[in-house]
Amino acid sequence: MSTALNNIWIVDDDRLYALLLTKTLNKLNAGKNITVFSNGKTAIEAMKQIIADNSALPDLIFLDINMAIMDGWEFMEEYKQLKADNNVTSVIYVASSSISNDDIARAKSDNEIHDYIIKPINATHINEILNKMKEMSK
Amino acid sequence: MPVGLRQAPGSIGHDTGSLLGSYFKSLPDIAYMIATDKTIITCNDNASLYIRSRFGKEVACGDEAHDYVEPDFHQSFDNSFTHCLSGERIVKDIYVPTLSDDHWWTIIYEPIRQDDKIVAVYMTVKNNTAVKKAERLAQQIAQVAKVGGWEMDLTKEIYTWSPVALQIYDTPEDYDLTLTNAIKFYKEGKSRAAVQEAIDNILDLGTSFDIEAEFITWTGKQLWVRFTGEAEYRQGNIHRLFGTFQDVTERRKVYEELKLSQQYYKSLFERNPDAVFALDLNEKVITANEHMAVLAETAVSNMTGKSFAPFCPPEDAESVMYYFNEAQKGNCVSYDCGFITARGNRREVNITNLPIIINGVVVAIYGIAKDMSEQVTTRNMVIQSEANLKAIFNNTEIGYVLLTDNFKIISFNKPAQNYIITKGQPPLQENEYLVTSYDDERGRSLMEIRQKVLAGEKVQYERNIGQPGKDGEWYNIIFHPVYGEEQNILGIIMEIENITARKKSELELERSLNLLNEQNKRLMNFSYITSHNLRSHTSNIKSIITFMEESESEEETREMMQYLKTVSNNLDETIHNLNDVVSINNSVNLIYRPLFLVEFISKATDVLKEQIIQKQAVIENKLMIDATVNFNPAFLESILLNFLSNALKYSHPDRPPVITLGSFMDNEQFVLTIADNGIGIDLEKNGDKLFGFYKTFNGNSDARGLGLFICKNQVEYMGGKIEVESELGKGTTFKIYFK
Repeated sequence: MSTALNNIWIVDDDRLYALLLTKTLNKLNAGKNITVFSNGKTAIEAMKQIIADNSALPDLIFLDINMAIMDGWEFMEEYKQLKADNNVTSVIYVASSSISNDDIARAKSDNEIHDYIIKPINATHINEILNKMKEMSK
Repeated sequence: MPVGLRQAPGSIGHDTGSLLGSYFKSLPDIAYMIATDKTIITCNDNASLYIRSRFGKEVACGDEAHDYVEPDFHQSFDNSFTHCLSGERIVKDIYVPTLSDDHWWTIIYEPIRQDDKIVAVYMTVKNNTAVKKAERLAQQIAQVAKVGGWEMDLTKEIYTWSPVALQIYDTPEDYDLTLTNAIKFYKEGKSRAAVQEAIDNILDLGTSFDIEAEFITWTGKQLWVRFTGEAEYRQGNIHRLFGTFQDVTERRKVYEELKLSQQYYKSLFERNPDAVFALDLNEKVITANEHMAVLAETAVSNMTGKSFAPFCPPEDAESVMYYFNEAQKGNCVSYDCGFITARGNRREVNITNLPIIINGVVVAIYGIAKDMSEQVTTRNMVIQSEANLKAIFNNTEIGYVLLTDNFKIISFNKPAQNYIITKGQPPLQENEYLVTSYDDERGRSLMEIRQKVLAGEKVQYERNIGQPGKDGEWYNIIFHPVYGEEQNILGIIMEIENITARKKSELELERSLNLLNEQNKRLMNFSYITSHNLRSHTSNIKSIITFMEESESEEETREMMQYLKTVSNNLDETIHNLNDVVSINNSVNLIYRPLFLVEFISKATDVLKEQIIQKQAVIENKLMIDATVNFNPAFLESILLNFLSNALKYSHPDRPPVITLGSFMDNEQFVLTIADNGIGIDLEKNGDKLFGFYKTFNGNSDARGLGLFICKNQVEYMGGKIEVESELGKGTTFKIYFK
């Protein structure tokens, strides 16, 4: 698929979920490189390294909320700081198994979060996201 | 010298023989015949008698006349005699005052001629004393009494007014005062009309009059005059009117004043709003006014002349008698006593007794009685209601201290005193100042309270007074202003209410509320667990099933079956964990007993033996061998196992773990400490979620969250708490507070 994104990140501590999502993305040829981070901290450090190396930042990030060490909210804080100083244009989707209204409302009120998806993420979700991104890049 | 007249010396009055001589001799006056050379020719019997009595001599012919004239009158005699010799008849009135009596004499000198030649002087001395004295007396009386006289001769129309009368009229000398114009001097109206009528009547009918009328003098002075008149008849007709005219202003004034003061006293007596009476010295009622009659419930006539004693209740008789005697001594006394009316009703009266003094002697006693029955009843009612209030004041459970606006104690009751004593302060005393400098735990001073109260604010606070061996009593203290009728602040009331029972239930309520909050929080956790932790598994299952349905190869299906098994195991684990949590929260009537900590620690280390050996860990037990906690054994086991395994799990890679168990007392609370030298926790970032219920059920090795969550629940359920101190890279210390 020629519309495949270059880099897709999955930030989630549920290894099984991450594995299943990777499989789905691959099936759909959604991205060329799919990288999994088990918490926010490893993801933000990788991002900092990329900026330092001046290499390619992720086009799309699936971010979990509840993670040990650094959770999704903390990751967003750090991400915004990075974005303020650098040209970072990743599209971030929060994907959580939480159906808590508090979490959903919080995600929706965040400008940097494109949407909140209740797990599991299936092929339909991914296609929608890709189409949207295509629209945006036009 | 006429020889015929000359007699031989020493033989006067003895041989005259003639008729003339005999007349001369018996003249009622003293008579002398004196020769021109002032020698006595002859004298009558009265003269001889006078000279004998006055000078002790027998008069003889040829005696010097000077010898028988009082020395003071020699000059007057000589002058008169000389004038007489020149042919003049001399009449002289002489007033001779003496020590014993006054005498008036009229002396007449008459020349005796013989052949146109004066040969002798005939001198008679007439004694006028009686007439003159009566005249002088009348004049003096008229002057003193200011009684004037008047007279009118009707036939000749001549008016005569005495000097006194004219003095009263005060008219000028040439004023022609007639009866007609005399009327104009009377005051117009009643006075003038009365005088006019009297004069008309006397002129027409001869009726005499005697009236007193108001009179205005020529010079305008206002007087009262008495004017009398009588008619005199001659041959059946009135020919003369006469009467007196007198200034009676002074007397009239006294009379008017007397009349007025008599009225005053009469009205003072009769119209006195109090009951007034007079008693004689035998306690008999002389007189009484109408109010006294009303008080006594009888008529004045029934009281007068009768004894006062029946009105006096027997129990008061002695004291009333005492005061009555005091009044008789001339003192004024006032006293309260009972009074029995004629109908037998009792009244409460205040009696004032005054002596009636006439000419310096107490002749009777005045009494003034005030009916005080109503006042006495009111006073008794006030006393009664005050007593009632006092009874309430002393029997209420709320303490009251009545204070002036500057915190001086007016009054207080027993509960207030008890409170002050409980607080260990000096007991309250009336008229002392409230000494409590700080009555409030928050350090609010009485000055501050006073300022607020005087500004009309109510100051309220609660105060806990601890007592050794007791829970302490709670008091609600209120200071509030006392307002007067004009909304001015009269004083301050301090109200002290023991609210221990209420406070205890309040605290109980608060505890329940906290418990409820805690349970609510746990419930929230559960909802979170169900919404998140369980859902994470189901979402994975959903994904796997999608893959299996769309599977393109046998291999993929098998792979997915493998994943499904993993999810199923995770789910099982999560449910087990949840069960642990649920079981804590369901253990309503959990038993707890004293547990030896050391025993439980060795049990836990036994379980963890393999890991301890593998990590080469050192467990340092600094606890006293007999350290005990009152706890649930299963919980204690779980707690120790959790903390110890955590300490082993998060050990620092560079050094073997050292876990130190210790304890200290904090406010009578036993605190167990578990300190490690592991990797530590960034409390700034993770402190808030350290004991939270995070997703640790996904086969992730990081299971600290759940363990701590369970421990926290267990400790809190037993009434304790957990605190944590940690530094990244150095280690962590958990403090477990047991109840």
